[in-house]
Amino acid sequence: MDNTAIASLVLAGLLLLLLAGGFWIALSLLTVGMVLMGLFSTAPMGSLVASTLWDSSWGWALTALPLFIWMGEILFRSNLSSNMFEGLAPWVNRLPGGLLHVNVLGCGIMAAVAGSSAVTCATIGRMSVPELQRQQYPLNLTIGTLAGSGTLGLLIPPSIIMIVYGVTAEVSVAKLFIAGIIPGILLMLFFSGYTALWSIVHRDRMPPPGPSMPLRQKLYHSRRLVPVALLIASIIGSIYGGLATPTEAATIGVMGALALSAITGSLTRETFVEGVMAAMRTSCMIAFIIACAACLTIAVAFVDIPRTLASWVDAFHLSRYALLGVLAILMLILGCFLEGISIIVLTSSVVLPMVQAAGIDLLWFGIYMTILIEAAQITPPVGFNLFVLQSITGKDILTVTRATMPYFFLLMAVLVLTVVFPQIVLIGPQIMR
Amino acid sequence: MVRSVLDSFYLVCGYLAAAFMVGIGVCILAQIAWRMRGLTLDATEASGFCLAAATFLGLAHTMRHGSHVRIDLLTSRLPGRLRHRMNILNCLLGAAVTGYLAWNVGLLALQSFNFRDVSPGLLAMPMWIPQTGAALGVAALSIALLDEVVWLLGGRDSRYGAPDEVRIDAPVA
Amino acid sequence: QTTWTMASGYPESSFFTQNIRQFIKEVEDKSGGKLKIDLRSNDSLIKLDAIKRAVQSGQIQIGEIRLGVYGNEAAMYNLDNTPGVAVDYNQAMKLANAQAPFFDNMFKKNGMRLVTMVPWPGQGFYTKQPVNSLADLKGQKLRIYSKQTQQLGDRLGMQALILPFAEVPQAFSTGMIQSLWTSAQTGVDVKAWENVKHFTYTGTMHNKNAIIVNERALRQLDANLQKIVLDAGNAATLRGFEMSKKASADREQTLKENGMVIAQAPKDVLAKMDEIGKDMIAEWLATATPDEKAVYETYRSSLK
Ligand code: NA
Ligand code: NA
Repeated sequence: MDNTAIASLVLAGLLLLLLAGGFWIALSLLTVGMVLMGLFSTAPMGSLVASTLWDSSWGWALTALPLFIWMGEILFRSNLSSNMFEGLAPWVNRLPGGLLHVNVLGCGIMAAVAGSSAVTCATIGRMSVPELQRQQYPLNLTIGTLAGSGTLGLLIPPSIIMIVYGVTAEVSVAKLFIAGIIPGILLMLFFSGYTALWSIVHRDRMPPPGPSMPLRQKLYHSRRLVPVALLIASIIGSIYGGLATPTEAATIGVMGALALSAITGSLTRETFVEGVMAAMRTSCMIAFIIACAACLTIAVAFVDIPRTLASWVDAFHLSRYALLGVLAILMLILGCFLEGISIIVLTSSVVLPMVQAAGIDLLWFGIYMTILIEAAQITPPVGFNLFVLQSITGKDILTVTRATMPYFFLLMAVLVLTVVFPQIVLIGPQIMR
Repeated sequence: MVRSVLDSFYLVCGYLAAAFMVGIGVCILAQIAWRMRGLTLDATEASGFCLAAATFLGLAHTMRHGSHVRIDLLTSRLPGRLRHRMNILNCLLGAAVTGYLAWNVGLLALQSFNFRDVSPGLLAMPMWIPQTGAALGVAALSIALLDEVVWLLGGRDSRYGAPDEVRIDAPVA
Repeated sequence: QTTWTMASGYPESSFFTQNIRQFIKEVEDKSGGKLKIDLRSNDSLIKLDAIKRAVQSGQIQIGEIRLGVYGNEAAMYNLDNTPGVAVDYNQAMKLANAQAPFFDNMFKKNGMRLVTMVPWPGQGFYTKQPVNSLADLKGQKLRIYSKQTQQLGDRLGMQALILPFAEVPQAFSTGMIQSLWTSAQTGVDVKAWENVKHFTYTGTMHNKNAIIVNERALRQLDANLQKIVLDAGNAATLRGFEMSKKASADREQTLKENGMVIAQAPKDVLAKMDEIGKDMIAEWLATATPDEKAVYETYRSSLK
């Protein structure tokens, strides 16, 4: 057995052992990274771990994370989010799936604001989980819809993943952004459709549908939607009106949420401090996992596992569809252990020429990769959306993962559809020409 | 005495982290405001440093609050004595790993000081300053874990279970 | 046999990386395989801005850095970042020659060795409307990336905005920025034709990338191997200048093929930039150390 194979086994084995032993996720990633680098490379481990941890903790793009989480905390503490649900209820509660569709739609809208999946999932989840639990919606669907549609943050523009891919593969980022929209909407339809079907089959586990209302009364109830709708509109408006970059828009969101909760009288010194502290803890947890994941990534890069695996795939000279299939499996396996951007950067030097040689359109492949990276957000043991939901719901990772599984398969279904009907991806950029 | 000093130490670090988190918003707000007046103010670097400070200084407080996620699926089903020993083992390993990390981040700060590394933007911040903050934050986490080992050795229950703020009592599907 | 790990920040298709590939091939061929270099391009091992530190601290043995980033550490890094100092490749080569002894000395003092310097292609404005005179630039929102380019933009009467590279495409499509001032290479990288129609070449400056080696790693090689590395590095500098020139022409061609109109900057714009450059050099001289001033004087006299 060669070095890479042994290193891969050590990586998988040790990580599973630590995680199963109840060791903290961030520290598990860090420990495995240290062991891997110490055993399988001659690079100075201590110094590399320290500088990697530091370099990955002060990036500009990451600054949106605590602010969006903070926005969620403010809204959660101000009744604005429960008002939003009350406003939406008359419209959706006769539909199969009821308020669960708010998760899908909310994540879709949030995805148009945020470039990352954890942020999308955390912001919407913080607002919707308590309310859905109060109304006794089944927890597995609450978690599944959030975990699944949270990944839309990567596919619906703006998207950090697409920017990294676009620059690496020399594909237009603007075209990638446009190409992501139709598959993104398709995914939302799949998620909503599945949720509706499930709730028809399991009618006994759903909360009873609310009373039907005449249109006038529905509209009257909808007045409660106005504040949050205004907030969302001002965030999206600030981006597409050229006032703020997507990263800066998070600050607009916080200001707006503070203003709204001040107007509605729920902003007190106490709720403010509580909100700030809760947001700090959640973002500290996620940012520390991200930094420790970077330490594992640099260890994996020094040991050269992803490139070796990709070269190994290359050696088989597969046909086009076989290649896409094998690459999907490779990306899914890497996705169990690594974070999305690193997967692209670490494999691109081997994978992109391979794909190009097989005559596959790199723009289309960018969306294919993005959907696979979306899947990586919800596969254990290292899946950021799973961690976020574990933190929000207080349920263990097995419950969270089991609840998310169906939505993983829906992602895979859309992935297959993009292969069978490439037009799903390509038609957007063609129309824009 | 030691107990209350440590507890307020974690809390002060937590408040500092929260202040830096608010600082991110302030930096970005200034950047937007300056731009609207047609002026250039590059706050990307300052907000990045605030983010790092918020993350690292918050570590120990977040740990004590039980907000660092872990998978206690198997360990929570172990019999009491065994679970207790697992907890001690985890905290010991955690203290060792973070202690080693804190030491190396400290060396990084020292090296930056010797290399005279300066941030590339308008701030021209000597890198050892925020890096020292990072080292302190990781060291605080290490101390909190060691503190937990001592606490557990006294035969008491761990203090880092799931945080209260997220416990939602509702039927589970 | 020794294997060095090398990090760089640009994709394989970039002429910088292609030049490095040839440098590596030359080292490996001439050393008969005794020194191998494992290049990890495109930020895949260490991010561009962290490479200098990684080489200095011995995390990796060799890497490519962007000199202009370190302007806060020594004024010398800012010299080729100042408009009007070296406006064409000829002058850029003379400037590089004048800077080389200074950089050699400074890097050596800090435990590194400078092996190669390669210039970026010259710059120009990317705009929606043609630039026929200075007035066409006034008030436009310009994306810039450094203190020097900010001053240039401000003094040309434009609204200079610092934006990370990653936010450029989005900012263009939302109208947050209207124009760029950058090289043909970067213009192709961001697919500028999707947002603008005109590329107005100004030249103005050629900032440089450099290949640096960890001093201790270099000393551990035998004298013959050291010479092979340094010679290959010099060859890479000469080749890099040619490749940069060719890349500039090729990228302009790519811009044309994608429907952009290429033009040389009008006289009044160039005159204004020259004037701004003179002011900025005066300011630079005020911040420079005597050694750095001497480099500038050497360069000026080599132009005569
Ligand atoms: Na998005
Ligand atoms: Na995963």
